[in-house]
Amino acid sequence: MRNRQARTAYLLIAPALLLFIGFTAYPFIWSAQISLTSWDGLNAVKKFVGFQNYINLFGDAEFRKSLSVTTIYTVSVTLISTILGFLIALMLQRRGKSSVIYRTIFFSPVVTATVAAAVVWQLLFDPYVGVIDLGLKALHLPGPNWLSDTHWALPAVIIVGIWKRLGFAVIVYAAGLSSLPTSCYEAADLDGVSGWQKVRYMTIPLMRPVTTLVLITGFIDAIQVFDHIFILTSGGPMGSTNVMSLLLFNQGFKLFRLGYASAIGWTLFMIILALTMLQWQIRRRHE
Amino acid sequence: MKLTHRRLASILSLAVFATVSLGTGSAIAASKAVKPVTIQFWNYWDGGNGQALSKLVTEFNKKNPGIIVKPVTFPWGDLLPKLQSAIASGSTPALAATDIAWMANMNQSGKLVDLGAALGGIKKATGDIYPSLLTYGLYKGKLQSLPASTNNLSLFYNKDLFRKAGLNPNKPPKTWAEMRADAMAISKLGNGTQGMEIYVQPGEGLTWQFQPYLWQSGAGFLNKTNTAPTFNSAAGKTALQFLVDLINVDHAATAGQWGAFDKGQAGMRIDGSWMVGGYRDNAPFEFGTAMLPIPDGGVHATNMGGEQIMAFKGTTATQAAAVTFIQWFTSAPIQARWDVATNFMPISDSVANSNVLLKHIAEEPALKAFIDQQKYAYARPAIAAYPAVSDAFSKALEPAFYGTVSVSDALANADAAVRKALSTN
Repeated sequence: MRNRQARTAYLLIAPALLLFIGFTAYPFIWSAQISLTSWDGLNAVKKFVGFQNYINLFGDAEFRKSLSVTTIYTVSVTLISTILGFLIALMLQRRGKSSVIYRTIFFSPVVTATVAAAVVWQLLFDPYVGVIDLGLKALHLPGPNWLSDTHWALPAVIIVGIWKRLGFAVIVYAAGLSSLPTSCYEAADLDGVSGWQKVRYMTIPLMRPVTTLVLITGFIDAIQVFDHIFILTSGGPMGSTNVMSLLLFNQGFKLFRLGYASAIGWTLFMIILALTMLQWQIRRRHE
Repeated sequence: MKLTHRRLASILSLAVFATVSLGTGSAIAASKAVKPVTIQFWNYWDGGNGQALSKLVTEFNKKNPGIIVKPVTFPWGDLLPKLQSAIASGSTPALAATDIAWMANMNQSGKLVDLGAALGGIKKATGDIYPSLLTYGLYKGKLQSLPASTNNLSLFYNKDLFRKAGLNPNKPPKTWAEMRADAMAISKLGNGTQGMEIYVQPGEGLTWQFQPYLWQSGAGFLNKTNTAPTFNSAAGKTALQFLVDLINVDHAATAGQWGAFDKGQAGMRIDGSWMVGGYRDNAPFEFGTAMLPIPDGGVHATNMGGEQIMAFKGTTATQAAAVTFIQWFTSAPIQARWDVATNFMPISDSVANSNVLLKHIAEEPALKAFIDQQKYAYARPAIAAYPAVSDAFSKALEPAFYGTVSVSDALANADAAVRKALSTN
């Protein structure tokens, strides 16, 4: 009976498993193999170079700069969207039924096609006809040339990243807040605990599992960013927005260095894995 | 009784099955006898170019009942990754047309059909196609692709802005000095109007746009054997200084994003003949074209772009079908009609002199500059290291446009980076 059940279970997971092996596991292992070659993606010969691509990576100034840009982008987008998401969810909690409309509004960027949204943002950031600079000029503030200025391009793509990510954080926090036990808050009210104290000493600690989820998924999402930066700046000006995924794409598919690009991909994967494990460890210690 | 019914049902099922099977079998046999060879043609010609290709392919399919060519269009940036994965997985299409800049790498794939052998020898296969275009298709004595189109860079200018700036809209600049003066006059219109739009984003775009300035001023790019850079010279510095000064001294151009000319916010830009149709139909301003201005004592020069068409190794039938299509598509009468529909430049004298194309050029005066300039078009180095060389070159030059590195340092850095790219790729 147990064997029969197991067989049925294996049969049921077989389609998903086959897809996983074909489209995730196999390419994953194959890219590790490619990362040890100097293959251009077209040549019939894949020359084995050992770990040379990985050694070259750390001597490559462009990779180091890309790593730093990716770190700034990831930390900024993840932290700001998480904090804002929590605050907005808190405010929405107090609005009762009308919060559904606001939740829909905040969530709409998540389901908007990033490329289409990036094209709209490109118009918004235009230094002459863009709404953002026109607004700043109306306030007698200097409007920067957002996407062409080496100092402003990264903040501009970070703004778009936050805009895109915020809705997810709001929805997850809103769901988390709605599941909190009301009895604790009622008891706190009876004890005369202030609103801020309830947030600081009750809501934030109770929301820790949700925060871990939002941070980890936000982090994994942000570190792999590609699409909107590709449309808005293509990594420029002067590499100021050249995140690792963009570097990987350019190396592999524009410069015919698929081996090197695979090494970048594996390095990115190891970074994500290490930091995710670190986040879980920190969470466990707090539990 | 029940058994009888079951038996009857079984007999009927078998009869139906046999009839269907036999029927299908004979249908398959019949279809096998006349089944045409279906081949895919991967390319990145979209919009009007894609429609033009589609019309020609339909015509070819009608004339060749044994072959069905199916064009598959990818965005420019997607075609190369698709080809890379197709080559790696052994699932290449029968036909593809790709950027000439990729050909050195494509040639090494070992997957391309020898068109010279398939078409009765290289001489017969190439006819009077311009020799400079053939450099991309020849590899180790074999002809692995043929030019499907060619183009070059000329000067586009906004006649409305010329008028507003008090310039003669029918007198585009012929020299760098005139171009500088016109750009400065236009930039004085204010509100962010650029006199000249310059491509400064790193990558092949920057290199391909800057190379004509090098060649015009007498500098080279790589030496004849493509083993060392030659741009770090006095002439090279003159070329780069000219553009850097337009941005940082004259403030007649901006180091930034590309696209101001399209919106009517820049007086001039250099671009390819494929833009003529789009500007004629959609530009919110009147535009003109002219040959690229040259420096005092300089020479005419422009950059050559285009696509090569190739057949991939497959079955005898798919290879034969692909070769038949290539032969038809690169023939002079079809190329002339292709150029009329796309505003690409002729690949041979017989195309250039065809009545169809001559009539089109007379009706589309903006093409004249490109036609006149084609003879001054330089081919970029057809070597596998070129993408890495171009990338290294453009990245070293970019800071000069932003004014953070001097022209001398930028060229010296580019020289070192290109030498490294040549030695490691």
